[in-house]
Amino acid sequence: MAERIADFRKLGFDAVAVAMSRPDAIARYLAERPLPFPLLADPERAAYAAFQLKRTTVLRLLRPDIGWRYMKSVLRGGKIRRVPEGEDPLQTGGDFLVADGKLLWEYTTPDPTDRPTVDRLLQVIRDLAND
Amino acid sequence: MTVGDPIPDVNLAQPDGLIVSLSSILRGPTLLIFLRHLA
Repeated sequence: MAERIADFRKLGFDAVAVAMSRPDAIARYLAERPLPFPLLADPERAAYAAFQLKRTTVLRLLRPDIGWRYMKSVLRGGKIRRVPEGEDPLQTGGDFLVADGKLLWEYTTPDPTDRPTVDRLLQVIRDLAND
Repeated sequence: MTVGDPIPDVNLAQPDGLIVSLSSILRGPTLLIFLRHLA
């Protein structure tokens, strides 16, 4: 996403990310991996709740395809990370296109691995511009 | 939420701990991404 921010800006959109991490954790993260857009902290998950983002279930997290994905990541040298204190591993994320204080489009799902691709998001923006 | 609904205004924290409202951060059309975790 960070690598493609210029594609969004060409279409008149910027990006803002929200994480349920504490501000100090986000500061440490950004020190290692700067982002070209704001990354804000919502450790109380008030914004997640306000945007009606739900919690998934343990059963969904235990799906074989998700386990296989983690295993492939570990085999490639990735680390299994501990869930930071205060974060909710069952909290789902979501993507929202907003303008003028109003919702243009949203993508939410109880599947924790289901997120729209950058290309899909860019296509949605193009489609909205053509409506 | 339904398309066309006003988006909720909520307080969020910047990495330095300063509290800001979402409405003060959004300066134009924006993709708002809620992460599950930091990568």
